Amino acid sequence: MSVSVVVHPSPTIPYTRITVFRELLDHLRSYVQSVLEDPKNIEAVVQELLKDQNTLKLFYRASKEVLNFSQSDWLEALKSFYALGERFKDAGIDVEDALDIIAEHDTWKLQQIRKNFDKYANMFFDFIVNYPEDANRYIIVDMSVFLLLIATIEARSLEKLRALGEELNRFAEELELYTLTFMIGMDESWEKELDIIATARTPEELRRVLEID
Amino acid sequence: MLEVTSHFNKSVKHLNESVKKRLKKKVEELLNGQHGGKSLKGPYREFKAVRIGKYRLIYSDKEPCKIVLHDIRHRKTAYI
Repeated sequence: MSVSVVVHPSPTIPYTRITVFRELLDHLRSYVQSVLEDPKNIEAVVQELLKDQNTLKLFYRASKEVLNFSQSDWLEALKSFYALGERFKDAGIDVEDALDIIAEHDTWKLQQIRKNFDKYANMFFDFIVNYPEDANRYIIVDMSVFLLLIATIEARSLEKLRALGEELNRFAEELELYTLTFMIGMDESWEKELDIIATARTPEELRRVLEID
Repeated sequence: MLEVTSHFNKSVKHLNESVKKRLKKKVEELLNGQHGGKSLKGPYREFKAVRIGKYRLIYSDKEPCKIVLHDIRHRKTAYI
């Protein structure tokens, strides 16, 4: 779920959707304040959040609302999301890659849930059962990204934005590894196409296998 | 030594010359043991990913002095 969806509802978004998002933001306020006080402490804040059943229920409801987004809702949300990058530019920190990675993760996940739900759910269930430590870390990373982005809206100093941006870059780098893992897990051709079809030992052979003219 | 899988071979066909040249440079760095990537997760821990601009090269280096190229993927966003 893209954070921008939560913080910048469009005027065209139905009232119930806005209500859910606002309620979620209210519940998140104390967590966001903790992140703003010490961005490097984000993981401890997320651990607390994951124990808060009421807020988790609101996350679930907000996620369900996102599932009903139209393509134009999503593009609108992405536009607001990318506008956050401008705040970081003012603070002299580049988060362009991080924003791309987060958008890719959220877009791809939403696509899978909407179009390949059974396959995605099976892949994810296997991941949780067989690699619980990685699965737990994924939740921490995903939720950290979410809270950092919300905190960005509230940040009032360039110094604070820089600190948030550094954390965002760190977590986005980790998120990308999960996105690629899940993408490969959903790619049926991957396992079938692991056979070696060419080798290179010299620069000329390298050019040949990379098909460089 | 470098090896490429059939999956990688398919992916590379979609790249333009400029990306292929950057890919070659990155592969040379990896073969020299420089600027390696980070491991993927769960069942794909043996694979590593490294960025080449908006592309990610997925490779493995289980054996000394040998790199296997598995995939190169562009970041995608926008359409749901």
